[in-house]
Amino acid sequence: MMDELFQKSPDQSLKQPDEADTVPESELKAVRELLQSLLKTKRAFEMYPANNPILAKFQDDICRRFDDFFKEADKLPLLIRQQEILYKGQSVYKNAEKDENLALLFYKDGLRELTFLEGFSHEEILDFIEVIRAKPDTLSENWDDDIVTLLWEKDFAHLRYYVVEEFSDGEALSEEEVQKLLSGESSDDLSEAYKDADEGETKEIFSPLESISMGFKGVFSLGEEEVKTLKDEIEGLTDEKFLDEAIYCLFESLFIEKGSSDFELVVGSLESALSYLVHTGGFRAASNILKRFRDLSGGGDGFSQRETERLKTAITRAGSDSRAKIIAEVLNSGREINIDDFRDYLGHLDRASIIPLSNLMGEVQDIKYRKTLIDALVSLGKDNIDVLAAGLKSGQWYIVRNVAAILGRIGDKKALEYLKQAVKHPEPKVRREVVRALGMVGGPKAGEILLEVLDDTDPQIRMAALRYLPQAQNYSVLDVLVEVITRQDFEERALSEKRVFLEVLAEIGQEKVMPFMIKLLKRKNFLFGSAKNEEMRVSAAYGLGNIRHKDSLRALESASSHAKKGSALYEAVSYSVHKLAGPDGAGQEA
Amino acid sequence: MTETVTSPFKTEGSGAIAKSSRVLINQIQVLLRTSQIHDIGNVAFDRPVTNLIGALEGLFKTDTEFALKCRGEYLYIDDTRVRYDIEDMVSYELVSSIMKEKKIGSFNFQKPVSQDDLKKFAFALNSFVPPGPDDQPDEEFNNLLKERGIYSIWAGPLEETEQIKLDDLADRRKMAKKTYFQAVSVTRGVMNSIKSEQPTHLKKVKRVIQGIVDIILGEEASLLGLTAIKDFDEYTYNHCVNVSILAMTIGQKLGLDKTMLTKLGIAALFHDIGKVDVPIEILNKPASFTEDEWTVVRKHPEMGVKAISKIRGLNELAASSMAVAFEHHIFYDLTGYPVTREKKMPNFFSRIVSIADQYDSMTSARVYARIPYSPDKALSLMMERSGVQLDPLLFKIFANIIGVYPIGTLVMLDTRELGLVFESNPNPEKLDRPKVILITDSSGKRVAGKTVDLSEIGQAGGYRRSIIKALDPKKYRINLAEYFL
Repeated sequence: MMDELFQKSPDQSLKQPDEADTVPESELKAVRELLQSLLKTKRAFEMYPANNPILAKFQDDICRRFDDFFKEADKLPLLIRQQEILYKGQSVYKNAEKDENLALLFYKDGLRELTFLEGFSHEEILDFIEVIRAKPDTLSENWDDDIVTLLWEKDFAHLRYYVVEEFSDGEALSEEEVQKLLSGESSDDLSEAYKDADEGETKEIFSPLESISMGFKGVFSLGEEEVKTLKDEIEGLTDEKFLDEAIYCLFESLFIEKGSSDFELVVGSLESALSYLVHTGGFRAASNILKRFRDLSGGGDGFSQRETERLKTAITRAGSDSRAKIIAEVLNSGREINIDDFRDYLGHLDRASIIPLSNLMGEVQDIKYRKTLIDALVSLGKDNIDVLAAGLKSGQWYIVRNVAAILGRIGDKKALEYLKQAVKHPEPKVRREVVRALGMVGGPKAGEILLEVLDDTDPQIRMAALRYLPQAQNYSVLDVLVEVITRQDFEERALSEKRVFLEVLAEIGQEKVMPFMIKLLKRKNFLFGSAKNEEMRVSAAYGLGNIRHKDSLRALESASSHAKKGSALYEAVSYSVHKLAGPDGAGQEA
Repeated sequence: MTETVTSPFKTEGSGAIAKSSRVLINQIQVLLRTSQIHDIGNVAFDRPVTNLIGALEGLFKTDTEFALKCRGEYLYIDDTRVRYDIEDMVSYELVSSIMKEKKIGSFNFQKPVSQDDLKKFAFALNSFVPPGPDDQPDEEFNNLLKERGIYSIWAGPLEETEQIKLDDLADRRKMAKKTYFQAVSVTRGVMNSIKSEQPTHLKKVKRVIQGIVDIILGEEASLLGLTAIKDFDEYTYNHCVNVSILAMTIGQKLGLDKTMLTKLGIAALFHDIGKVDVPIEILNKPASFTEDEWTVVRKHPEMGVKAISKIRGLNELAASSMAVAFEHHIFYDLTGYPVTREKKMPNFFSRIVSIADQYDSMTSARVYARIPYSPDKALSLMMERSGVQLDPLLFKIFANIIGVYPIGTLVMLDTRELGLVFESNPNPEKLDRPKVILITDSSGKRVAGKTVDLSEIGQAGGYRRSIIKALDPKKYRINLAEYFL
């Protein structure tokens, strides 16, 4: 073991081979291809998020190449040069470029030899790729590692490496400094010590831990309970715990720096902590910071007004556009995120985050995160309808759609004015959402706006608008509905739309529109256009099913006896008769 | 200047193997104890034997045979040292002491090992009385095993500890020395860049701490001895390195893994990082501090938090360093400084560093007292503070490392030789039997530092050497570094 540690010369197999030695071309080819596969896999891992299925293909390829290689050999020794990698003295990789250069990647961190040993498992291969793949450089955590520190941490069982350590000028201790350390007080007096020890009274000289020297055995050993206490503490040493501790220290520092110029520095540190936490998906700790900012900015802790304002700014910044982008990245990264923590985090943001968060909705892929975002926006938007509604002016249709959905969920009538402006949006998906929102908000005013949709080019949207009309409880819509129904071209519409029109008309108008409906039901079929007329009668039959009145039932029963069994009219009439004659229907009333 | 370092060696196998190794040692201990109390047919054997078979299967996964070896103070599975958890400490020490007592260096296991083999093996070992070392005790034990029909287990000879020392110690010390100096210079580099507000690269710090972790996991004593170097520089870089080594040694005893040890080492190295902002005139003031000066000095924990924030913001690595920088003067009873609003027990790392820091500061000629305490005096004082200022459990671990005769203590032996304590005995039963570097012969004549182990048994059956007196090396102007390097 120690031989390895003090190994001064590189691995024997890395030395230049004798001239007589030749490495079979097939072997070199295998190594070359393996390195290329390694590079490709590294790139793939940089390009795709961890949960992308395409990565498995690259993974399989590199694993297969390692497995195949170790069928023939027990180790794969590589000598690293700046622009080249050698295997048994032969070049197996060459690249003079600065980027995407496997040789340089290893070389720059001081790696000079890399030897994979037989048994290098698939798990180790994945770990190795994790070590060499480029990390997003925006993350400060990566400044503290290089390939060597990461290799060390992974503790590979089947990988050996050789590293040179570079010291920049003036950093290493000089000879004089080392000498100073060695010499110190050079004039020791061993003979005096010897004399004292030899002649002196034991008691005078012997002092070590006198208080415990009698029973030190018991004092120094740990009991079972004590061992358990320590073990529990050790198990509690998680990264999360340390982050909490650091946040605790920063907030304590914030109190210490109250009124000092360093207050700003500490708030800045907390902000960068927040940024780091969001980056790494640590929403639990991040929301704790925000919560404390919020609590402290409320005053009462002795912070000056300027200071509480600064804390509020920190909350605002936490919901900024750039921070929202990071949130989207994290949510799309495939990283495990605790949804409750994420919800808490969003819950602590202020109104300035409304627009950035609504912008997020189109970017976040996972439906469960989108739902959480919408929930947060609903709660944030409640008291800030105007801020939220500004999102309806967005150039991106999906943002307009999502904002409309949120306004609908909030259900505040104040939103109607804004929704009205979006009702003619060119994108049908937006209009459909606006219609739904109008329906959810409800009320006469919403009804009026919904009427504007009855001329929409998309029948699905027209029907959706109709279905929401009864909730608007606005009787003035009746005239408009009748007007549309009696238009020449109305009959040309699909049966499904006609049916909805008449059902809605009946539902709102009840007895008022009953004569009109009965008349429609009884309308004679003419030879020419009889199919269209039949559809109008069918629709009227369905409509009458919504009018709980004996006359309505009677008209339907009469129609039933005349209708041809199995026809669409017969179906419709039977349906409505059944509805009205049922326990809650007109029959009871009659 | 280009320095070469070599690849880290492994001190423990990968997860499953390491676990099987620990179970093996634990269960051998239980088996041996059971066989001292019960007959071979007793049900009390069922559990340890079943567990042992399980552990053996885990270890046979890679090969059909392996050896449990005892070399020096440590146990190995083949050539991988088994690192023990705080829970396994007793079993570990018991198994290694039985192997030494029976003068057997290794037990080799070959697949398949039956339950019966294991029981018989335990009884054979218990009954075995080793002959003198020249009569090959391992061979004799093997004969006993064969007599009892056991062929799947056999013994190997004990490697002479002196031999191991000759082979390794010089090299290890050389390596330790190089790493120590690297650590001091890297610390200086980082502190300078912080002071001058230059970008700070922690990669180098991490690398050097990783190097220390490797040494500590291999043989902690070689570096621990170097912590006897004090007051080397006016900026206390070597104090930082000492505290880091002491803290990591405590961490190693606690069974922290490599990554955690690195984190602890870095946090400990930076515990006084806030002092870069304290004027050097105050830090090096030859007299006691005035009230105003104390106020400045007492600010260094919070300044440390700010310094770390400045260089790194917050990440996983900075987090533990920040906690330690802030809390290392907050005591176990929650007194100390800084005074916090929310009272809470300092972080586990902070409590470890607090112990390491107190010890190194008290034995140095600065900070706490202008005249340094002798190591044993410092430990005595800390003993009084245990449970008040210091975490009592962690202090026990620390006292175990430092020993009843702390490293650097000048001792006279019953052979009338003078020596310096170099390494404590890892067996808590033998804390009074450390390893000692001899500095004079029995007539008081200076000799080149030969290392002796006071737990070594002589030909007559008693200890070859024992401490009869302890003295303060400072009193005789003995520069420990001179002997330890």
